Amino acid sequence: MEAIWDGLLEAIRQVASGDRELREIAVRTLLVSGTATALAAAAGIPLGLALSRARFQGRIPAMAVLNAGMGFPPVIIGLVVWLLLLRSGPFGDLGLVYTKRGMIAAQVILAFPVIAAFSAAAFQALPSELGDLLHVLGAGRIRRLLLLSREARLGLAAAVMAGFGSAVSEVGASMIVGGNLAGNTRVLTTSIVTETSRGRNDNAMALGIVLLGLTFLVAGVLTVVQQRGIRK
Amino acid sequence: MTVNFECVVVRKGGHVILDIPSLALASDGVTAVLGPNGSGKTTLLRCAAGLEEAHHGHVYLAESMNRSPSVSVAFQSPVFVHGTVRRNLDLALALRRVAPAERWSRIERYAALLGISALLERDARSLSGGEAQRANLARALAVPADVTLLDEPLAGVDDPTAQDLLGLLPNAFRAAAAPVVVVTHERDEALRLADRAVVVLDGLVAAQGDLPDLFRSPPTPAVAALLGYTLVPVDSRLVAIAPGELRQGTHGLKLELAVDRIHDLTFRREAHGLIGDVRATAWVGDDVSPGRTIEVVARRDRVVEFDSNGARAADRIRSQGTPEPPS
Repeated sequence: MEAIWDGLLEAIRQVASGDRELREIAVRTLLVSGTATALAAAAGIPLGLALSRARFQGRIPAMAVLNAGMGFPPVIIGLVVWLLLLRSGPFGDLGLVYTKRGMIAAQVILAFPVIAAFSAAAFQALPSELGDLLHVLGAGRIRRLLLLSREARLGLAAAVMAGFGSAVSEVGASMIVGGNLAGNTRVLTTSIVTETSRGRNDNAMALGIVLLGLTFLVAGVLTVVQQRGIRK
Repeated sequence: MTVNFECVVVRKGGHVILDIPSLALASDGVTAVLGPNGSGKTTLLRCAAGLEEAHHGHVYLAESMNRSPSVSVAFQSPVFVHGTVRRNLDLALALRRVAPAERWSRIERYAALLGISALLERDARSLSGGEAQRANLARALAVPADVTLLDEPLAGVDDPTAQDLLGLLPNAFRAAAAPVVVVTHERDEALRLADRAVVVLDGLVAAQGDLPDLFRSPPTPAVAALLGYTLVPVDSRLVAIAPGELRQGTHGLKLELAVDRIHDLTFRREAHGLIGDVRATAWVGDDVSPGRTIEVVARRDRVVEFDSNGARAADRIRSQGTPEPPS
């Protein structure tokens, strides 16, 4: 218990002192997971809208795949993406293995089904006549997406928060695809694993505090966006 | 502007729910699409709005084979985006690319016509059912369109609001200038609002024409029943009696009504019962009570006869002018 307490005090000291390496890892984590979430949302929200309104035969299987995708083990995704990005793999020429962009690609695959499935549910909760009305009035696809997204923003913000959560909290995919290279692809989760394995619990706890703080920060911002203008 | 249907077939779940070989809808004035629930009339409206894909055939504006109809719609259930009533009307007009200055004047004009001027700054989602339907109709009519489509415009509103809207809508239709299609299952609503009617039964157009003519002379028993006629088998014929025309008396087609219930209205006494196996209503005097069998009559000129195949046996309607809707 004393070791945990000492570790926590040391962690707070490190965070308070603005440790440079810690700061860099935190910024890198935010950059990688934030970019992955943004890309996954850019693709997942329109797909969610399409799935919520489309009436094609494969709609339910597509939804089932997305729902299953929410439970994909990150380490499996990491392994598949790593094999694809290896020099000898089909996308080896892109040179993305052991890079931040490679990590972003893996995290996009993790966050995308979460955001798409939650978005589809959020759009399905809107009255179907609303989309029909906008269509009849002449709103194009992009305008409809924007207007309906505003109407469904409670659910969409929750979708993006869940997507960011799945990206920022995974460790397996980032470890395999990024390689946990110090100063390059090391993010908070992979650092925690490394520091723990080295027995440096205080460093691991400092990184954990920062990761929790980051998660609260992003969730807080999205919650403000989500709740703004909601009638009391 | 006419919306033409050519060889249109719509299927859902393997069933044909709309089958229209040919129909010219809404060339001008107000057309009622009249039919019972589940008859396919809302599907017809959605086809006209371009929201329902026909499995066969096509729907197009008479003036242009290449252009989708520029339509305006009020759905049965009012839907709004977040914001005030004004914002909702403004958004609809903006999407139709109406200039900002004209948007403002149109909003004020149609809000006044539908009695919602005082509601323009209210949150659209906080409106009562009647207020929301008024805003819904104001939005549909304010938007410039080749055809305005209104799906059950008085559904879900209380009777005073419905009566008020029945008074206001004709003026709003005239202001909109575009042909209007009103989908309804209410005969009285159609009679009050429309000049013409298309009767839809089981996905088929069962009749169409000027509404007073259709009302005076329904072409089939099914159309007569939809228009409120009481259908009574007499010998080998089927006699259709116009709504509100059965009463105690001595002249006309004589029938026997077994009274099981009396409904005392303020000025008239209504007897409900059976003519044979057919449930009917007649206006009666004070001496009639439940349990009695009485003789009732219908004026011959308010009766239409069909033969055993449902074809018109004789047209006994000779009265001229628009009939009074039943009270």
